[in-house]
Amino acid sequence: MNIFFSGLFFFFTSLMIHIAWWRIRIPKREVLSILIIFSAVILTGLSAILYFTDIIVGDNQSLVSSIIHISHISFFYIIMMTIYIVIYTGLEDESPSLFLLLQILNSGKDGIEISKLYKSITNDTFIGPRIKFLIEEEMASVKDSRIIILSKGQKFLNVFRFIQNTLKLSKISG
Amino acid sequence: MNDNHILSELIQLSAAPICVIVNIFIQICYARCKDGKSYLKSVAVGFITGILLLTAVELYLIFLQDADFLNGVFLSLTNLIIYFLISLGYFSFINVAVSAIRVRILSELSENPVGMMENEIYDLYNSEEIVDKRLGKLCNGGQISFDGKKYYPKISLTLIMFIILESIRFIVLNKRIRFSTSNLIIVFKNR
Repeated sequence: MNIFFSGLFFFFTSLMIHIAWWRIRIPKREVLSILIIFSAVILTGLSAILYFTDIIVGDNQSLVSSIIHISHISFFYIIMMTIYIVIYTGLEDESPSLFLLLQILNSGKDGIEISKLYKSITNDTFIGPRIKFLIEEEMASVKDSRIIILSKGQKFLNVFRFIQNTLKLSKISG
Repeated sequence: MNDNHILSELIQLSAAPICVIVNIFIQICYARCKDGKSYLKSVAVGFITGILLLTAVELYLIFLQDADFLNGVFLSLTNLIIYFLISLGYFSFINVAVSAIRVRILSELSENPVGMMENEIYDLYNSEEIVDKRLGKLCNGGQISFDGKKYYPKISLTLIMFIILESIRFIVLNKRIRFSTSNLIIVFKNR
């Protein structure tokens, strides 16, 4: 019970600090700042637990049991933090499926024709910004107005080609 | 405190990650057996297998081990959340290989070592293909409805996910909610 509530308490404490900070000013390096907040909270929290160890396991419990408890709380917390960061980074990039869903939802009970959906998305909505991102991240570069793949991009692609091969998925993603 | 108690705690700690490994293993085997044609089904089969295994382990620990019942229930809940979150992370990761626009662009560039003009990329991969593929997936997955002419919203997992993401965007980034709440109420009323 302590593992569940301690993990949630630390997570929501971090989240509150994160939201309060973001409401004042959004930092330049957002993910790094989130990591700093979440790490500071868990380290402080675990230190407090270790100091007041009887809160978690009681005085007569073994050291092994304490280590397992601390590991379980940390693991629970780290998983919640990681998934939160994944979701947070996803907020920056507009997902095409969710963008379409937004258009369909806003059409209400009248519905929406495919021609209107085609008009709502242009190549500049999703593909253009991704090409720009690949160039900024040095996965691709522009040479004589042609875009070429760089070794970093090829390595990135190879990771996902490995997944495509392992799961026997189509090579044509997107 | 005895060895059994320590063993039980160790099982609790490792149960969720082990069940995720089983989930991934089953998912890969299923996808390979079906030649990658039932990708979403393979994800579902893997997830369900893992969660059944985890539930069985948790029930064993709660009812057959001499442990505090309430503590056991909350530990099981913790492990179920851990299992769900790791599975979500895994799904998000492999989904990049399936639908990420960046991977598709890199793939097209990789096929053309001399490079491509931006309009050449658009000839091979453009917004219409993005719309067609996504609408196909949303319709086939029952996430939206189509009457042959128009697309309509309906209550679905994707819609709930969308509402959650919009809420996070509003709470954390202080950005305005982009969907009409009156339309959302209509969707829920007409479910």
